[in-house]
Amino acid sequence: MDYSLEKFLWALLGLIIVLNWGFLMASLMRRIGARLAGRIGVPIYQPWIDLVKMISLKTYLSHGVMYYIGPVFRLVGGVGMFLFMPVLVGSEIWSNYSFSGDLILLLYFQSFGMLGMALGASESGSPHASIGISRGLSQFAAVEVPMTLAVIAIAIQHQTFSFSEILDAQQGGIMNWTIFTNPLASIAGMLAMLGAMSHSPFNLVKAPNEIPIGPPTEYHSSFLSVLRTNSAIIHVVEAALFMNLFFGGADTWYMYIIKTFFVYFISVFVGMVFPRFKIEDSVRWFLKWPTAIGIIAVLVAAYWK
Amino acid sequence: MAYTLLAIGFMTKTASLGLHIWLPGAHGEAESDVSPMVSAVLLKAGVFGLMLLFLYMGQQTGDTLLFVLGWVGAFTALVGNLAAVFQEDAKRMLAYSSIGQLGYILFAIAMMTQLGWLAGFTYVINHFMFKAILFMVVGGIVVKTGTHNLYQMGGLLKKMPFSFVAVLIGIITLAGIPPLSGFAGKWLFYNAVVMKGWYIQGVIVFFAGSIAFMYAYKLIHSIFLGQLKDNHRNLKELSPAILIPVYILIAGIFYFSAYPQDVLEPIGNMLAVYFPSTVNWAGDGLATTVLSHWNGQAVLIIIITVFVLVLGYLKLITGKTTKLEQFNIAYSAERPFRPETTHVSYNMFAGLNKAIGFIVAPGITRLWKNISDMVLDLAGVIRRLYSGNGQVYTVHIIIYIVVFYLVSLG
Repeated sequence: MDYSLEKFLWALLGLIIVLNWGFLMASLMRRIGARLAGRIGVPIYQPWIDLVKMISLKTYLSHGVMYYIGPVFRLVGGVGMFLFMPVLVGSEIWSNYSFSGDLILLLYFQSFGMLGMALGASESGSPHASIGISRGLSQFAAVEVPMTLAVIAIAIQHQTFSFSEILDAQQGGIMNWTIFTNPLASIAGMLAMLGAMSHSPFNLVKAPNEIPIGPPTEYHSSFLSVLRTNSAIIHVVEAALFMNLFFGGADTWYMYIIKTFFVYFISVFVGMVFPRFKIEDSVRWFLKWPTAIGIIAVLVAAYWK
Repeated sequence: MAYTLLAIGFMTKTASLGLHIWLPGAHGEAESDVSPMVSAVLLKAGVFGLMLLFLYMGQQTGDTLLFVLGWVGAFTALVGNLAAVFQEDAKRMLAYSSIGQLGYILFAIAMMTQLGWLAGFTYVINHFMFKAILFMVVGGIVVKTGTHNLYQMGGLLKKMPFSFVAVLIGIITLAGIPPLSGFAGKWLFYNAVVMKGWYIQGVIVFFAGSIAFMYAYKLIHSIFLGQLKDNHRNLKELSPAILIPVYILIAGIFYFSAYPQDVLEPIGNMLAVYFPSTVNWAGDGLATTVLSHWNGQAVLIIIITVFVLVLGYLKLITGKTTKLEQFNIAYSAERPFRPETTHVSYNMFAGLNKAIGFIVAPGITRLWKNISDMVLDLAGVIRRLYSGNGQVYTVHIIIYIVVFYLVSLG
C-alpha cells in the first residue's frame, strides 16, 4: 500500500493528461462526424471553451442536496475507474492505485457513478431524467451479460483477473494480443463496448430529440462542467479498459493515445453508420448475438484450459 | 433420494425457484414490524439446514444433486430479481428481492468450495443487514403514507433525509457496488465461479446482479426522489424507534466494509476444516486468491478521499445556489400538470419488460394453482365415498370384508 504524496501527484498528472486527451478526442470525433455529414465541424479547442463557459456562468440553481452531489458521484466514478487501472504496462510510476483491486473491482465500480448520477438527476423530478435512467439501466444490465462472458473467458484463458498479469501475457508481439489468442471473447467484449460507450445505435439513454439529453437534462453551469469533465475522462478510461483487455495495453503514452483513439473510434464509426435502436430492441440484441458468441467463447476457453 | 427430499424441504424455506410462491405474499403482506424479522433472520434457517445437509452428504455422494441445485440457485436469482423489477408494491418488491438473494446463497453453497461458502456467508451477513434496514425503513414509510404502492409515493427525501441515507446505504450494499461490503460477496463469487468452473450458471447470477441494481434504483427513486404528492406534504421523519436500530445496522455494514477480514478470516479458517483453503488475508486488509486480489480498506480510503476532493472542487467553482420549487423543471417548454402525472414510477422498466419480461410470467404460480385445484377435485371425489352417513360406512366395512374374504380364498 503506497499512499505517499508522490504517488498521488503522479496519479493527478496522469488524470490531467487523460482529461485533456479526452477533450481533444471528443472534438476530433465530432469533426470526423461532421465531415461525414458534409459539414466542417467544431474547432478543435471547442470542449475547452465549453468548459470555461460553463464554469464562468453565474446562475446556480439547485433542486436539493442529492441533486448537488450527483455530479460528484459521477466524477468520482470516472476518476476511480482511472485510479484502479494501471495506465502503462510494467511501469511502477504509472500503475496508479491498482493494488487495491483488479478487473472485478472495475466492473462493479462502473455502477458507482451511474447510481449517484441517477439519484441526483431523479431528485430534480424531471420525467425526462427518470425515463432516460430507466432506459440506461435496462441497457446496462443487458450489456453486462456479454461483457461478463468475455471477462470470464479471458480469466479462464489467463487464469487471473489481475490487469498486470493479463497485460504481461499479451506482451511480445501483436500475435499475443487477446484479439488473436482469444478472438471470440474479444468479439463479444467489443460488441459489449458499443453499448458501454452508448453511442448510436445504443444512445437511447440520452436521445436528444425526445427526452432532452435524458439524465443530465436539469444540469447546468458548474454542475454540467463536472459532468463534461467526467465524460471526457470516462471515454478514455473505457477505451483503455478494452485496450488493456484485448489489444495488449500500452507501454508508452504515445501508444496509449493511439490505441485509445482507435478503440473509441470503433464505437463512433458504428454510431455513424447505424441509426438508433429502441430500448427493447437493444436489450434483445445484446442478449442474442453478443451473448451467444460470449457463451461459445467461454465454452471454448473452458475446453482448451 | 433421501438427500434430495431433505434438500427440497429446506429449499421450500429458502424459497427456491418452483417453491417460492409462498414468500412474496407472506413477507409482503406481513405487518411492517415483523417483515424485517421474517426476511432478514428466519429465511436463514433454510440456509442453515442446507449447509448441514451438504456437509453431512459430502461432495462425492451428492455431486449431481449439487449441480442441479447450482442451476436452481442461478435461475432463482434471475427470476426473483427480475420479478422484483416489475413489482409496484414496495414490500412485495423487497420480498422478491429476498428470493433472488437466497438464490445467490443457494448457488454459492452448492459449489461446495471454501470460496463458495465464504461468498455464501458474506451474502448471508449482508442480506441480514441490508434487508433488515430496507424492510424497517420501507415498512415505516408504508405505515406513514398509508400505501404499499410505489407510484403513490415520491419526493419524500426532503421530509425524511435520514431514512433516505439508510435506504441508499442499503441499496449500495444490495447492488454490490464498491466500496461497501456488498462487493465483498461479488468478489468472492467471481473467484469461486471461475475456480469451480460453473461459468454459465455464474454469468446468469451476475446478470441477476445487474438486474438487482434496477429495482434498487426503482425503490429509492419512487419513494424518495421524483415528485412529492400533495397528500404527503405534512409527513415527518420516521420515529427514532425505527431509525436507531437501522443506524446500528448501518454501522455494522461500514465496519464489515472497512474490515472484511475481521469477519471473513475466522469463517474461512473454520471452513478450512472441510475444504482446502484458497484465500489469504494480509494484515492490512488485502485479500488474495490464485486469481485475484482486492483490498476493501484501500478502496474505501481512496473513494472517500477522491469524493472529498471532488466535492471541494465543485464547491469551489459553484457560487451560492438558488433553491428551486418542485415544478421548476425543463419540461419541453410546458408546465407539468400534477405530481401524479409527472412522477415516473409505474411500469418504469417497460422496455425491459417487453424484451425479457416473459421470463417472469407467473407460470409456476399457475402450475401450483393447477396442482392444488387437482387435489381439491380429487378430494371432492373421495368426499362422495366418505359422506358422513353411518350406513354408507357400514357398507364400506361389509364390502371390505367380502373383498378380503374373496382375496384370501385365492
